[in-house]
Amino acid sequence: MTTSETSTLIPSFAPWLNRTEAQSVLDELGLPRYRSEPWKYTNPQPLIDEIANFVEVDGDTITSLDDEIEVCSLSSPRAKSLAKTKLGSSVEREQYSPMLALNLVNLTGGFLIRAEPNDRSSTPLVTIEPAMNRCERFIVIVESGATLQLEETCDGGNRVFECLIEEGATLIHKRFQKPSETVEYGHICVQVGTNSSYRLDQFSTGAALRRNEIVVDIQGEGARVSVEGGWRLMDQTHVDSQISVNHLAPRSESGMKFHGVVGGRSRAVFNGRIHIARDAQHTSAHLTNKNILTSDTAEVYTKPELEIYADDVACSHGATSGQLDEDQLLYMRTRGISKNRSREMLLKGFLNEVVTDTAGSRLLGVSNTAQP
Amino acid sequence: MSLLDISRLVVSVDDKEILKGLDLQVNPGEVHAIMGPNGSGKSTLTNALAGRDGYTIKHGQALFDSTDLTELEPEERSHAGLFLAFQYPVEIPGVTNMEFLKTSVDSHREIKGLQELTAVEFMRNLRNLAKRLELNPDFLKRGVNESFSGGEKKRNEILQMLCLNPRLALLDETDSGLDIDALQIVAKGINEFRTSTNAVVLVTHYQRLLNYITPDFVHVLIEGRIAKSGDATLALELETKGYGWLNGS
Ligand SMILES: Nc1ncnc2c1ncn2[C@@H]1O[C@H](COP(=O)(O)OP(=O)(O)O)[C@@H](O)[C@H]1O
Ligand SMILES: [Mg+2]
Repeated sequence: MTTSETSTLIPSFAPWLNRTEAQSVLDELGLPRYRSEPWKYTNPQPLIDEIANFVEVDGDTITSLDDEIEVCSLSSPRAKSLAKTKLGSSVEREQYSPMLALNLVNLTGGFLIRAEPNDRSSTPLVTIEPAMNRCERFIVIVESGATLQLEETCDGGNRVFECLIEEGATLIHKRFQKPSETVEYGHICVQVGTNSSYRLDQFSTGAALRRNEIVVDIQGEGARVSVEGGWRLMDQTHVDSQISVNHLAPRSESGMKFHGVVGGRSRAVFNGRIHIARDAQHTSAHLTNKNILTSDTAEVYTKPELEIYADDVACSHGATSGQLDEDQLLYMRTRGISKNRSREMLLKGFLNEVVTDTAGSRLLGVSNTAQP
Repeated sequence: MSLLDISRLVVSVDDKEILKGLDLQVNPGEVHAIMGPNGSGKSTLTNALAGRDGYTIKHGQALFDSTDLTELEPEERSHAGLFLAFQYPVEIPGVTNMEFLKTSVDSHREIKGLQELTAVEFMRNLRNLAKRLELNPDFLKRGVNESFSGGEKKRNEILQMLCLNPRLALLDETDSGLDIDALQIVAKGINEFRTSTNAVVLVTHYQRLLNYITPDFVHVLIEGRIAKSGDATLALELETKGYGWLNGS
């Protein structure tokens, strides 16, 4: 597919999102290419080709049961006015990534979600269902002092989240990526404000191709960010997670931690990056990724990166991939636990170090209740 | 019939011969102490008996209750009643002690055709044992041996032994790293475990533990062979004379 062909796909949905400009950005940047740096181990072509199958539909992938949460279609004047005042011009981000521009150009639907502060003790919840054959965009605004939890289930499609967390607000995003035979692209970008907090828990099983891009910009002092989760891949699946946390303000904390179990002929790609700007003093940031390979044909490409331009910071990063620990395995077997059971318990234990969510451990097949 | 019958055992690790023709018979009701300097092959013996990969039996044989151990997987050796308390127990973060112990006990019960214990039955038994070994029951919720002190790890090994009630317990340096109080607790656990039908092999290079547990036999392992065997007085002799005088023999 050439870039000029993509322009014929522009449907009429929410033109205020500068979609024509997005096309110009795309023309300028060109489509992403396999083996270019961000696509070293993942061929973007299936993700691009898939878009030709997408259709514009009235979206009902989103459910909110709470009054404090406003949900409106991006095609509504309300969404336009809210987003324009909060986020400004939306093509700014697209300048950096042709995939984001492609999402905007081919948009088939999307919603704005806005959370206001409330007096309730429980966290308001918005659930988002899978959307095969759709190109969607969600604009999430958590207003000053508000709290919001998103529970997203993924199974194919092309989806971009733009999240804004205002001062003292909290956003929790739980992401359940179901076993899928299709290809899937997801991008989450988050702006984290002063003293606010952002938490993403991402649990991934395999898909024909699943690309997760996450960019968190810490823009306010005293913010806390946690991006954690795990993956369990089997058969011929491919999951690629590209995650950046950018500390742009002082006294902020971030933790990025993923454990993966990779078997069959599957491939896991992880690129975790922490960037600490010169002004982001007194920052703490930690990044780890550990993988266990359960077959000779599975592949892991993991790269943790730390770029530090401030001098008063506490940071660490590391990544490992290897087989199950033979000493642990022997220890369990000498206590009479069969080899298979020992392996399963060790894998479960390894994933449960990061997967603390019940639904997440169920998805990855390591929950306590669903034991063989 | 001996419970453990080892004859002319030669074991190599990474193509290096470590045990060079070792003989040992252990009968029900007996306590044996295997002593010897560092590097003499004590842990090689216990690991080979437990079935660690890479510990190749080149010659000779090791029979447990008349079964050739090389025919059994590590878990089958455990089911048959062999227990090894490791010199360096591994940490398994993510698997709780509780889950680990229960799965272990239930695996043994399954082999015997018994039902799994209910969580309540299991906990009652375990709390009692933990109390006897002065282990804080909170440890059950933690990962296996995770951030345990050296002494706690050793006491956890004894706890596992008491849970599984083996016929032969090989205790590899279970006394090392213990302060005097912990040593007494561990010794008490071992003494209470002893019956006329089971047996204990204590591997140690200090005589300290033997002040609390009187062995029926003491063997000195030097360079992969039993250089000398005797009764409990041999341990005292080693305490004063060291191992040097045995090297030439
Ligand atoms: N995994 C191994 N690979 C190679 N050599 C080993 C290994 N384990 C032990 N050894 C060697 O075998 C000898 C006996 O070690 P070990 O059985 O641990 O002695 P002990 O327990 O009596 O101190 C030592 O020389 C040691 O270096
Ligand atoms: Mg040793």
